[in-house]
Amino acid sequence: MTPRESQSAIMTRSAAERYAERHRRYTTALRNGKPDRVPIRPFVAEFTARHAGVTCQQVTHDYRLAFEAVRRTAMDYDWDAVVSNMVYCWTGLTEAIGLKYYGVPGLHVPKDVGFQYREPPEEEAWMPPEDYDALIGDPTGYLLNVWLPRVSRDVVAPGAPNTARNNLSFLSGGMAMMSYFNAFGEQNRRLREECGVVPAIAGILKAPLDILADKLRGYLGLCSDLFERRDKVRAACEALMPHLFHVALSGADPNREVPIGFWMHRSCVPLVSPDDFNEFFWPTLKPIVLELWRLGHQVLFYAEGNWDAHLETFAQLPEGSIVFHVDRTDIFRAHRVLGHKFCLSGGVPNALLSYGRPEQIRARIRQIIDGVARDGGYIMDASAIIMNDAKPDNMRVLTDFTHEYGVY
Amino acid sequence: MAVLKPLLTETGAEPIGKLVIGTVKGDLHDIGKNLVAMMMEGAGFQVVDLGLDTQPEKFVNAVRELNPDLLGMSALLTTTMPAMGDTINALIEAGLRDRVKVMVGGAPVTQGFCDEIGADAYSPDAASAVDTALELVGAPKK
Repeated sequence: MTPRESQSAIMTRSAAERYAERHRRYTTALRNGKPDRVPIRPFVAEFTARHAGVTCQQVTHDYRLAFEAVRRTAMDYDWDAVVSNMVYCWTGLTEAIGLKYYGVPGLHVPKDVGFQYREPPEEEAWMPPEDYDALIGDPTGYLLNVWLPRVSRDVVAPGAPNTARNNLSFLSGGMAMMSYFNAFGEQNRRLREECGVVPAIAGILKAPLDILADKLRGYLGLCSDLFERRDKVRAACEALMPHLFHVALSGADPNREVPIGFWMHRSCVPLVSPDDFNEFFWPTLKPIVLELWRLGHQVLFYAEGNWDAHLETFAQLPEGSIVFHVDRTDIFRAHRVLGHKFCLSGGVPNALLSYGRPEQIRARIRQIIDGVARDGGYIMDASAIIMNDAKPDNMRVLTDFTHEYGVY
Repeated sequence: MAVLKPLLTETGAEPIGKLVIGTVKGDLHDIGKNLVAMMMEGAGFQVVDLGLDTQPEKFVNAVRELNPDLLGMSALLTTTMPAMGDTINALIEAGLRDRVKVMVGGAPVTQGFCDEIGADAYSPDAASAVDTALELVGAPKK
């Protein structure tokens, strides 16, 4: 064995050992157990660009650079798990299809601001109210044949005169999709084998009511519909369930070790009323979560906003079936209501990481670990995805103090 | 509001104040801002909505030209919050800061941040934003 091969073997073995240790720590906590110490799994998005010394525009335009920034950040900070690429919008794909709903850094927002979603005014919603029956009749067909041509600058609807740009959008969009999505396998392998870091989640779930508000009717459109056409809203949510279940399952971890990410945007009080939550959101979400759990897949509830009003509802789910991520929910109440059944994560305000002082961060971490993590079942993270305004020194404090104070 | 506005106009009631509102530079999120704008209109304010991704100069020009009682700024991202401070500084530079009360809000915004950037008021949600606005213009709460 040459010195170089020997060095490589040490590095490889070392990364493998680190991976085994971190994997054990992370998955033990996911299952509401007590590992050797509190695992750290920050949902780092554009913060990785800052750490790598590049702009939001660069990581959005070049997924290889984004992947590299994730690996480098996870290694340098010694985190247990990260999302393979939280800056998941790759301009190469979105521009190939000409998607109108992305605001891309350097194109539509300043180059140092992360990508965002555009929502048209109510009267220009991607789905007008008269389309409900078409969506209910064939959700997947509707998304492909009606919705996609509306959200794309290039795709034309079936029956409309064809264009070269339409043909090219499918060709280049398909190539971009293959290139990008296939690259995730290699990214996950490198995270595991080179960095010894666990890819934190696999797959994506959205709730029917959320997707209706988010990408079809828009929030204001949905609010009108909840007054004027409740039967259609109910039928649309029910019709979307198989499609959304299939999307979640198709990206899930085949080894059933890490959870499916469930992104919850617009269905907590006061964005919808308690009655609408109980009548629309929950009955069309719960069966999906139960079926995924029956198949062995845990779901990570990324509960954006404040879900205090709904914790008792989530507590109905089978033990271990979810992980509840805390944004603005009261983390101590979440622990009281959910902690005996489920792992929690998050709860460190992003503003603290951007504008706070080290002692404030340490105080919050101490409060969280003492209050909710004493018996395990907690994963350290900020409240929401971490963007490029988080101070590197504060991220270091988050990491080092959790390593120090989070030992069991 | 499309339904209610003509009815409100029919009553002939004078607006109780004028609000210029917008989502700040670099931020494309406007649900919260739209909810505040609707609630303010419902409470009797005349509302001028500058939309999203609003540059500080646009806020300044609106204050200069429309002479509102209140200026409302919204942000959803911690990365765009600083644009609120930039806008207040632009108002100061233009000599207009004393002509308008500045309100701020949005998911990551706090009372501490409001105080730090020198805004006049922070509201955690749309309903309390109305109460705060009424207080700032000296109108009774509804």
